[in-house]
Amino acid sequence: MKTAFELSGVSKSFGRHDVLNHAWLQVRSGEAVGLLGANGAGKTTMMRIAAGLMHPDRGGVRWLPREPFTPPRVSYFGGETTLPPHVSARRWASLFGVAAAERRPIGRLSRGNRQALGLRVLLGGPPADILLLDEPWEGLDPGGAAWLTDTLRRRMRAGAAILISSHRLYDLDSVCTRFVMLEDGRCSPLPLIEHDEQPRLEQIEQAFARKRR
Amino acid sequence: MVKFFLVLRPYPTYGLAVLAVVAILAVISIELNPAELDSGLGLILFVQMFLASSGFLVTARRGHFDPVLGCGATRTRALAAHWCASIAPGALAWVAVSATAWVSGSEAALSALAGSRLLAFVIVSAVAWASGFALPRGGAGALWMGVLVLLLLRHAELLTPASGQASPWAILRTAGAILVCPFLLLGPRAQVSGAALVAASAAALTLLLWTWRAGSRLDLYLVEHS
Repeated sequence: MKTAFELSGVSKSFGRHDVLNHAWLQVRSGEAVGLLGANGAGKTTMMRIAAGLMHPDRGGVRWLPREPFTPPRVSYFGGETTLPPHVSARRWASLFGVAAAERRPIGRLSRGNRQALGLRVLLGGPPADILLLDEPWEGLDPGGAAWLTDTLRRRMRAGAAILISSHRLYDLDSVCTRFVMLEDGRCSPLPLIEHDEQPRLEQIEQAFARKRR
Repeated sequence: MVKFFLVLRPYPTYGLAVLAVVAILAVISIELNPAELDSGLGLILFVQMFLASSGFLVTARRGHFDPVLGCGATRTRALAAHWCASIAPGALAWVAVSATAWVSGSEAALSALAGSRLLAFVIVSAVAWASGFALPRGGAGALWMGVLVLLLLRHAELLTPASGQASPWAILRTAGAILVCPFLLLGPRAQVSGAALVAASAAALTLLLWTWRAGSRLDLYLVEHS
């Protein structure tokens, strides 16, 4: 599989607080990587750097084209709080060529419906080569969560490179092919043993707990 | 991209309502007396000080502009589009009032559409947007109004008899006065040299371009809002 994007030696500080410290991450086409980490570990900062919304102090981000001379299509969703509350759901969706029946302003929708709208708009448009999703399952009901899981699996099979930051280990486990842990500003892989008698979800939970100790 | 920002509306609804009322009143008064053009334009300029101060950075750090600012988008283009969307309602009102005056036979209307009066609109639109870049919506307008009220209370003479002269000092002083108070370009008394007009417009546009350039390098981390 070909590398779709990489963060190479990325460092980022806010004042004296080092959020990322020489972090490396590579995501290939056709794989979904789960980004784990404690609250405040720097997952959102890393996602926003990967999306080009923030600039690293050191290091760099590279998105590599799937086809020569065609820039990759990158999509990022930072969660329902990033949607403009005063705009109607229908108008917001229409900006991205997606149909939506809901006419109410986004701010009047429930949290789960806002999250679902943001995701449907992102995933309903032309397929992206690189998908960056920050806590995508937050607030979704079981039906919405199943739809998201199914859509992400299909996108992955179609060759998209996906990076997902989430605390919902069960949902991550149902989509991701591998996991990295962000700790002390660095990414390290979570070692999981395939074909082990112990289910993968348990292994992730145990590895996560060990790392946090 | 301008459409994206127009849908997101960089200005509050009540701001648009005030602008609409002001524009309608200006059109009616010009219909009755074409000499009232400058009063109407002055009111639109005043509202534009607030509307154009649309606080780009505050909204961007809420993540509302993420789809057009990240993922390989050209940020400078997005900033320019945001400026266009921010000044659009004021520009529409300005053209409507000036066109009404032109139809009514006002000689000054031409200057509002392609002369020193139009420069007043461009200066307000550029300076208010750029200086309000990192402030909450309308912040630059409020600060600007504070400065103007202060000058008014101190009876400051912004334009002197030397304002029409061509010495470098007079040009700079007059350009500074125009930048602080673009309303000086309205009215028949506006006796300023062409060089001062060019200098003031160039300074306003330089500030705008510098803000686009500096803004394109800023970090857009998320700031939670209640």
